[in-house]
Amino acid sequence: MRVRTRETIVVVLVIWSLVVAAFMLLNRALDLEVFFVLALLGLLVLVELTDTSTVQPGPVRRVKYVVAAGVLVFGWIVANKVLEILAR
Amino acid sequence: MRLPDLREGAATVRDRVAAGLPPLRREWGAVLAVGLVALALLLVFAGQPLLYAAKTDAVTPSHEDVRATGALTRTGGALVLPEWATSLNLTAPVVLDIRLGDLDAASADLEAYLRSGRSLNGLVWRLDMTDTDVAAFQRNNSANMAALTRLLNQSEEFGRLGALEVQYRDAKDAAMLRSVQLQGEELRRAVRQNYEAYAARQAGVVNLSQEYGLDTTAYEQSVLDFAAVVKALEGRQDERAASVPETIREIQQSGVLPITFEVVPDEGGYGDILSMQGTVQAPAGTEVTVFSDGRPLAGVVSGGDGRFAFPYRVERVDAGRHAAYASAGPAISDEAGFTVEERNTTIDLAVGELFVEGGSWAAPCAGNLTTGDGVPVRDAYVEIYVDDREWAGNDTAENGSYAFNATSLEPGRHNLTARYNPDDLPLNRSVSAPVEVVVPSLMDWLAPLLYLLGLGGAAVGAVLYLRRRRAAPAPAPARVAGPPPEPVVELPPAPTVEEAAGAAALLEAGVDGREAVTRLYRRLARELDARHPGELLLSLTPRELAARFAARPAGEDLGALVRVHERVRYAGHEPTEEDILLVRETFIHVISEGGSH
Repeated sequence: MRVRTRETIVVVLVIWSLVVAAFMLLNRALDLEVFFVLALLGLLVLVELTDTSTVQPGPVRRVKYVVAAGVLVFGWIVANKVLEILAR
Repeated sequence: MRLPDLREGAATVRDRVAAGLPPLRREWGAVLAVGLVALALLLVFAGQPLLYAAKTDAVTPSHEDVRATGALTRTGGALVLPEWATSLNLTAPVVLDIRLGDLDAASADLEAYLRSGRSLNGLVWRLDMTDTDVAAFQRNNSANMAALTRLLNQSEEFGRLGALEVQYRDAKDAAMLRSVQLQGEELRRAVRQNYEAYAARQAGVVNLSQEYGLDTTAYEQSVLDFAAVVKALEGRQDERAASVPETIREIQQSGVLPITFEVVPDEGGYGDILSMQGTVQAPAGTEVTVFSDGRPLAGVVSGGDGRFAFPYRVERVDAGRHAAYASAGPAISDEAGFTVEERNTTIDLAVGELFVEGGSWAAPCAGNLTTGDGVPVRDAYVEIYVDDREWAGNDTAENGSYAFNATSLEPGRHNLTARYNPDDLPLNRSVSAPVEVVVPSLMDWLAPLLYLLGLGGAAVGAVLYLRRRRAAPAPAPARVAGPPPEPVVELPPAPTVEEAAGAAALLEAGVDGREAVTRLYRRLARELDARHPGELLLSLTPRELAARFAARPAGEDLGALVRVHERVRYAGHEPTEEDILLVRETFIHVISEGGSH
C-alpha cells in the first residue's frame, strides 16, 4: 500500500504537470510562477485525495511538508504580483 | 545442435528473460503515454508555428524570422516602413532645389521633410521601438534633417555674402570686402564639414533601408547633389579669394594710410587675453575697427603715437586657427593669425536634500564648471541627467557655478550626473561623478508589509495545514438491540416430555419466531452430538444431520424441522405459527424419545 501511494502521487503529478506545460506552450503563455501555482494545486488535490483520517502513510506525511513549503513560495509569489500591480 | 533443440533453447531463454524482467507498471505506462502525446502535440504545432509569423504575413522578406529584424515586428514594420520610405525620398528635392538655387522651394521641401521626420520620431516613441532598427534609422535621419537645415541656412548666408560683396565693391570698402572673403572661407569650411558628415551616414542608412526592401535611390541622389552644392560653393569662394585681394590692392593704391596689426600672444585658450594691437599713421583719435574671421570684433581709438590695442578675451570662438586684421577708413592691415586651443573642463555635482515641489520630489543640484586651469566657465549650459536621461539644464553664473533643481523625480533609486557639452566654446565636454539619490515612495514601506502579509499568511496556513487532522468518520449508528443471549439449558440424559417442553419454552422465551427456530435447532443438534460422541454431528450441515438420522424413528420429524430451519435461517422466510409449532413439537419429540439410538 505504501509503495502504491507514493507511485500514484508521482505519476499523477507528472501527468498533471505535463498537461499544464502543454497548454501553456500552446497558448504562448510560458510563466514559471503560473506553472508553479498550478503544479502546487495539483499536488494539494492529490494529497487530499490520498490522505486518510486514521493511518497516515509515510509518503503522504512527507509530501505534506513539500506542500507547506510550496504554500510559502505561493505567498511570496502573491506578494510579488501585488507589488507589480501597485507599481504600475 | 539440432534445429528442434535450438528452438527449445530459444524458448527457454525467452522464458528466462521474461521471468527476469519486472513487469511494466501501469502507472509508468500512463506517464509514458502522456509524454508521447505531449511530444506529438509539440511536433504538430511546430510545423504550424504559433510563436512567429507565417511567411505570407511577412511585411518584408526579413520578417520571416523576427530575430533578423532587430526586434521590429510585423505590425510595427507595417506602421513605420511607409514613413521611413517617405523620409528617404524627401531628401532629394531639398538638396536639388538648393543646387538649382531655388531656396524658397528648398525651404518648403525641407519643411515637408522635417514633418516626416517628426512623424517618424513620434512613431518610434509611441510604439516603443527604441531597441529596433527603426530607431537606428531615426537617429541618422534626425542628423540628416539637421544637416539639410544647416545646408539651407549656409546657402542663404553664402548668397547674402555675394550681395554684400557687390555692395562693398561699389563702395570701395576694402575692410568689408576682406570681411566678406573671410566669412566666405569660414562658410566653406562649415559646408565641407556638413557634407562630410552627411556622406558618412550614407552607407549605414542605405544598408539598413535596403534590408527592409526600401528604395534608396532618391537618398543616394541627394548625397550626390550635396557634393555638387559644395563644389559649386567652393568654386565661387575660390573666385572670391582671387578677386577680392586684387580689388583691395586697387583700392589701396589710391593713397591710404599704412596700418600695422598683430595679435600677442598668437595662441591661447578659454579665458586668456590676447592683445590685438598695432599702429596707424593717423592723428590721435582715429577710429580703428578690429576684425576677426571677417567679422567686426571691436572698435578702438588710436592714441597720440598712433598705437591702438584691443584686449580680446578668448571665449565664444571655435578652437583652431583664426585670422584677424584692423582697418581705419579705407586702410586695412595685413591679416594676423592666432590659434585658439581647446581646453579640458571639469564639472562637479552636489545634490542637496530632496524636497516636495508641486506634488512631486525634486533634488537641488549645484556645482561648478571650470577649465583644467581653474578658469571658471561662465554662461555655459549645464545639464542634469537622471539615469542617463536628459532631465534639466541651466546656464552657469559669472563664477562658473550653477544651481537648479531636478524636479518631478520618480520614486526609487536614481543616478544623477551633470554634463557639459560645449557648443560654441573652445572646450571639451565633461561629465561629473554620478550621485545616487533615493526618492522615497509609498512602496518603501508597502513592499515589506506586503511581503510580511504574504509570507506570514502563507506560513500560518502551512502550519495549520500540517497540524490539521482529518475528522474521523462518524461512528456507525447503534445497532438495534439483538435478541437476548441464548440460555444454557441443561437436560438429563433421558428427559421426559415435560422436561423437553420446559427446555423448549426457555429457549423460545423473549425472542421472535426466527430466533426461536434457530435456538431450538442448535440445542437439538448439541443434544444429538452429546448423545452420539465421536460422530462430530456439530460439523454437519442441517441437511447432513437430517440425513444421518433419516432412518431413525425420529428421522422424518427431524427432516421436517431441518426444512423449516433452512427456510427461516437461510432463505429469510418468516416462520409461521405452524412452523414454530412444528419445530417445537419436533424438538420435544426428538429430545424426549427420538434422539435415542
